[in-house]
Amino acid sequence: MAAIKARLESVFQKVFDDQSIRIHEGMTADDVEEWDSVMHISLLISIEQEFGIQFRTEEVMSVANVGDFITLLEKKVEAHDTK
Amino acid sequence: MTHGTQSRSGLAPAKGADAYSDRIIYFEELFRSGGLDTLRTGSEVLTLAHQFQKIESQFFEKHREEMAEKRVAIMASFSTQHLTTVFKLYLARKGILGTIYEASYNSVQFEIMNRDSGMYNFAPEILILLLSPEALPDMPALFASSDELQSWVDRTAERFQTWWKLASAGGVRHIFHSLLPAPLFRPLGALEANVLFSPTNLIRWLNLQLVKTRPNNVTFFDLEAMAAQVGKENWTDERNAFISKQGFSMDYFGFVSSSVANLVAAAAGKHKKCLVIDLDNTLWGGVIGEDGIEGIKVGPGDPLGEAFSAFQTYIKQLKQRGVILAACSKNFDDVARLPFQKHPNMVLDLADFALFVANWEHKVDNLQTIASRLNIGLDSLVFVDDSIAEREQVRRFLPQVGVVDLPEDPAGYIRAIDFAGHFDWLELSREDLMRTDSYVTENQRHVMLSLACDYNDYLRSLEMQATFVPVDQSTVPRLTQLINKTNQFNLRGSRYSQNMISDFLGDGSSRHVIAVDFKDRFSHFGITSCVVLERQSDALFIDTWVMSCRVFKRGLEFAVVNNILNFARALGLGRIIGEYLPTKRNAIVSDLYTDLGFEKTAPPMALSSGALRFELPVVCAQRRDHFITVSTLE
Repeated sequence: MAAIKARLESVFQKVFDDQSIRIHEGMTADDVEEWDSVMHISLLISIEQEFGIQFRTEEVMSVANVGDFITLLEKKVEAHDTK
Repeated sequence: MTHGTQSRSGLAPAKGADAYSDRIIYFEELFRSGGLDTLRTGSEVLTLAHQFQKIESQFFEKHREEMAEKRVAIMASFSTQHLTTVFKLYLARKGILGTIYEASYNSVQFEIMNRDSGMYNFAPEILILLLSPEALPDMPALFASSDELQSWVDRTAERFQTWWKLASAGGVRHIFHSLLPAPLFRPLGALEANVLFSPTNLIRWLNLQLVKTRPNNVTFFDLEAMAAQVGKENWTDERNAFISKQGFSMDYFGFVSSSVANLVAAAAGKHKKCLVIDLDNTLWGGVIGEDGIEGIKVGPGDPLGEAFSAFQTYIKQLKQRGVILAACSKNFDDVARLPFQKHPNMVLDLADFALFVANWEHKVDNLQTIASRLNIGLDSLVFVDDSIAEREQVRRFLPQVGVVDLPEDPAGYIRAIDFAGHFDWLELSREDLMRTDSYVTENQRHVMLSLACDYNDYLRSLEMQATFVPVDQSTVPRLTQLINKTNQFNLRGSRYSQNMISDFLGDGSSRHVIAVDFKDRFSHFGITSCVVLERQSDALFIDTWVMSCRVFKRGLEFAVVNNILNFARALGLGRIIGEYLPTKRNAIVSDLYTDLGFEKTAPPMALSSGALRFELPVVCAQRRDHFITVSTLE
C-alpha cells in the first residue's frame, strides 16, 4: 500500500506540476488548487499509465478522494499482477 | 508492470526560483530535437502541455522576434479543453503564438449563426471546426432512395457551406474544417460496405461532396485519414467519450494538434518550400566515390535497391507537386553527378534539382548558400540526410531548418519524410509548379550572368516579357496567395483575404488591382507582382505593392511604376503617394520609392515609427527605362 501511495503521489506531483504536493487519504479536489474537472481527466489517464491499468466508467464516477483511488488501485494492481 | 518505465520526456524541470528559464530551455530543446513527435500517450502529451502553459508567456516574450501571433477560434461537437492545451504546445513548436477562443461544448451552430456571439467578438483570423458524426443531422432511414440520400448529403453540405460564408463575412480569413471519420462500429455489419444508405457510405459521400464544393479559404484536415493511420480501433475511446465527451482517444491529441498546427503555420507563411537532400546512402545505397557506378544500389533486383528507387520516386512526386529540390553532398561535384548521368536505374534527374551542391564544405554553410541562392529563408528548408552527425549539426546551428530523422533502414525513409508533414500547404498553385522549373533555370541564368559583360547586357539577353493581365474572380486566389506569402518585397506588409480582394474588384470600389505575369527566355513565372491602388481625391495611393523574390533585380518594378503612372494620368490625378511600413522582413524595399524618383514627405502622425511616406507629382514624373517587353491584356 505504501508503495502504491508513493507512486500515486509522484503522479499527482507531475500532473499538477508541483513537487511539494503530499497526498493523504482524505484529500479531495478542494485541497488542490488546480484539481478541477478538466485536470481530473489528466489525472485519471496519468494514473492509468503509471499503473498500467484501466478504470471502468463506473469506477471513474465512484472516486471521491485520494483514499478511493488507493483502494481502487490496490484492487486493480493486485488483480493485474496475479493474472 | 509499468513502474519505472514512465517516459522521461514527461518531466520538465520543476518549479522554483530560476525554474522558468530552465524550463524555457527545456522546451526549446524539445522543439528543436523533434522530441514532441515521439510522445506516445495522452498522459505524456497532456503533462507536457500543462507544464508549457505555465511558462507560455515567458517563452513568447523570449522568442517574440521569430514568432507570429494568430487568433484562433476552436469549435467542436465534442469537448476541446484538453485538445486546446495540447494544440497550443504544438503551435508554439511551429513558431506560432496562439491566442485561442474556445466555444463551449457543442455550441458551434449558435456561435456561427449569431453575429453577437463570443466568437465574433473575439475576432479570430482562423476558425477550426472539429466535427464528429454525432454532429450530423438525422441520417436517412434504411432503404432511402438514392435521391433521398443525395438530398441529405446536399443539405448537410450546404449547412457547413452556410457556416463558412457567415464566418468569412464575420472576418475569419482561414477555416480549417475536419472531414468526418466514419464510425468504428458498424450496425449493418458487412452490409455497411454494400449499401449506399449505410452510415459509413453516407459519411464518405458527404466528405467527397464537401471537397467538391470547397471554397478557397477553407482547408480540410482529414480525421478519417488520421484515424486510419493510427488504427480506428485505437482512435476510438468510448469510455473517455462517455465520461468527458472527448472526440477521440487522447493518445492522438498530439498527432492531430501537430497536423492542424502545420496548417496554421502555413497560413502564417511559415511553411517549408525546399527539400535539401544528401546523396550517398540517402538517394542510393553506398558511396559513389568508393563503390562506383556498378557498386551503388538503386533499382530492381535487390531489395535495398528497390527501397532506394521507391524513395527516389517519392522525392520526385514531391518535386512534381512544387517542392524545390536541392542536392547537398560531401563529394567532388563530377563524382556526385555520375549516378544521374550513368546509372540506368535512377528515378531522379539532374534537372529535377534546382541546385546541385557537391563539395567538401560544412553542410551548415551549404544550407546557407542554398537558401541565399534560391532567395528563400532558411526556415523554408527541410534537411534530409542519413548521417546523424550532420543532422545534429544542422539542428544545433540552424534550428529554423526542418530536419527529418531518417531511420537506419532505407525501407523507412518515405515514412519518415511523409509523416513529418513538412509540406502541408494550403494551396497547390500552378505558379508553385512552374516555380521549381524556374529555379532550375535560374542556374542557367547564373551562367549567362557570368558570361555577360555587364548587367544590362545580361538583362537584355533574358528576353523578358511582362504582361499586365486582367484581374477577375479567377485570379483572386493567386493574388491573395501572392500578397500573403510575400514578406520581402511588400511595401506596407499587406495581408488580405480573398473576400477583401474580391471586394476591390466590385463596381463602385475606390480600388484598382494590377496583376503582372512575367516570363523570360528560360521560364514562365506566372503572376509575380500585384499592386492595389486606391483613388483618393486628387491622388493615387499605393495601398499594396508586392513582388515575388524570384523576379528581383530584373527591372520589373520600373515597368510596374510606369503602369501606375499611366493609370494616374488616365484618371487625371496629380500625385502618386507611396508608403513604406517596415516589417521584420521588408528592409529590401525601404529605398524603393526613392530609387523610383519619389520625394519623401512628412508621414502622417498615425503611422508607426520607421514608416516613410513618398510622393511623385505626375506632371514631372519620367518613365523609367528597363529591358522588359511590356504588353497589356484586356
